[in-house]
Amino acid sequence: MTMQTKNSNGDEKPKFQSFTVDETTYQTLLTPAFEKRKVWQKPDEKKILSSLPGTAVKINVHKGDKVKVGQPILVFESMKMMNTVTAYQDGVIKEIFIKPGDKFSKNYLIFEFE
Amino acid sequence: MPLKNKILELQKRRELVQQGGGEKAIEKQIAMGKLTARERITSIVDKDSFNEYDLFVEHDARDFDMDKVTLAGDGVITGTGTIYGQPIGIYAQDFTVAGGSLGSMHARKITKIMDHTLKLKMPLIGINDSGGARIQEGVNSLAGYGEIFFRNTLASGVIPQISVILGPCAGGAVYSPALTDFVFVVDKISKMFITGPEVIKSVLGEEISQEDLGGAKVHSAITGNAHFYAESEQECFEQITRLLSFIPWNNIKKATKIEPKLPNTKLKIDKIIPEDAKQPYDVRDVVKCLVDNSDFFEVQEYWAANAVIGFGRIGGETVGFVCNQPLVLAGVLDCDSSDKIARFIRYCDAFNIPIITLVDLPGYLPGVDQEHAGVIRHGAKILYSYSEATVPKVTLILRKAYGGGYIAMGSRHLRADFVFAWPTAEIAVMGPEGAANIIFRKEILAAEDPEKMRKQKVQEYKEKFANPYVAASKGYIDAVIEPHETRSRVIHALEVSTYKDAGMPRKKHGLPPF
Repeated sequence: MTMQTKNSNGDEKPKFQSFTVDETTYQTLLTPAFEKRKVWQKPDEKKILSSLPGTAVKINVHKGDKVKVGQPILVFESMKMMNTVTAYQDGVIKEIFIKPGDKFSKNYLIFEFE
Repeated sequence: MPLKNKILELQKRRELVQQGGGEKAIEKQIAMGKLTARERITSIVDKDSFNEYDLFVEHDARDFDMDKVTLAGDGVITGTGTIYGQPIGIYAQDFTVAGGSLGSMHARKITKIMDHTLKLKMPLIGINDSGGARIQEGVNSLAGYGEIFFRNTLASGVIPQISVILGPCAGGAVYSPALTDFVFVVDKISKMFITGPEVIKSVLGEEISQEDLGGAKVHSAITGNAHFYAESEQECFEQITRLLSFIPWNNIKKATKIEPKLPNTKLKIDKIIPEDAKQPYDVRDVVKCLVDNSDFFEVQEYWAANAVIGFGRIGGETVGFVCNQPLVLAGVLDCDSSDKIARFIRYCDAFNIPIITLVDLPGYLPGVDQEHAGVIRHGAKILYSYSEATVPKVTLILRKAYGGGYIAMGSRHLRADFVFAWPTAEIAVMGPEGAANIIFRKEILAAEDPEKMRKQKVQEYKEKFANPYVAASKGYIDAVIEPHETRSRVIHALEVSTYKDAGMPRKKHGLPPF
């Protein structure tokens, strides 16, 4: 395995890039982790994302249903357990993105409120 | 039975066990590009120095027809040997015997050699090549892991513990290496993960190979779980003995001092830092100009490369280097580099290795991801470990030392013994651009040509504060030195620190921000 940094006094000129800290711009190498950074976005409260990866077992609501805080809306299997997702706001279910048996990853969009 | 026959019997028994899992299993091991457990041990220790124990240990499992199965040495080889003529303890899991799976007697062999090693105050080398818990032994297997982890923790900071991953090391098994000081991995051979690809697929539907999930490259460059990466087992063994050439055998001893040698690099220490302060350079070039033979042994080379850590010798004495690396991300501190630096400082402190810090950083990496990843508590680990370390600490400010970064990187205020600065040092609360914009905001806004005024104010600030002399006037740095004076200054600083006696208040233990 070689690193880009190996080229400091070698024949290949490393590709330096601009990098700003405290309003000063430096020439330096960027790391893959830095380049893959995602721009932060404010979470949309209308969208319910899965907190764990798992498999949907039972969906207790339908599109257009009115739900109240604390009402169970989904049962899913994860980590060898049945987990219940409850509504954390009052509202109307606008869209359901999973059906029983679906596998989903963490932070997967499962419900959307109106 | 005549004596001769008894000896013959012993020889026969030995031979049988030493065949491990038998010819077929050994062929398979070789086909995977791996050496056998026994070959690995003899490749690491001094020639003919390996003494094996517990060769005739057998497992005691009875369930699932295990009473009908014999497993040679219960799948692990343990013993003592020497490296550089100095004693070490070593064990190697034997993948040819039941996949190197860990049962209670297998674990007991390991804990026995660990107990010996701790009592005899010598390094422990553990070679991991195991499919994991021996399922047939149930909770006894788990108990075995627990006993190993407990001893890893007892021995931590007392004797060097080295983990060599030469095969799979999955599930609970990974926690023994994680508790040890240094983890060695080899490309295409090492595999470490808590949950393997099959489990991930069944839960998530994500498909990933063992290599992409927890191969040598992943742990060397992405997770930071491994400290040394090699292309082959032989290269890995050379790295192990090279590491042992630098470090002391236990926490009571100091590393052996050897004949001092001058640096032998063609690099000119006065010419490494570029004229333009915004241009990068490789901080390892500075290290090479300082250490004996220009021989620097870098730790965690591929992970969090914005910080550089490793061992070298100065005037014959082993020192640990902690450096910002302007070549990568301008040398900023972030979560990963903080973890990397803090743990290395604690290693050096535990094993009586003086710490040399080379400072050149613009501060902490800005960003939501860093803040949300807990850069506060990660960064605090550096402050904690520098403050806590009682070994000699010598700090050299090469260029930028701004803000929190200045304080964190082995400053006088965290009880560095000697702080030197090059004339290129800029010790300030923040970079000139940022500082001038805040201090002279009104003047800049009110000016006819704000941009011109801003430039002028930045220049003023630079001239007044972007230097080592303000800090020197307060005694925060002990001397401003020319680059070529650095080595002799450091050697002298280490010499006068020989009898350093610094302590911490009595406590059970502190609470570093883990």
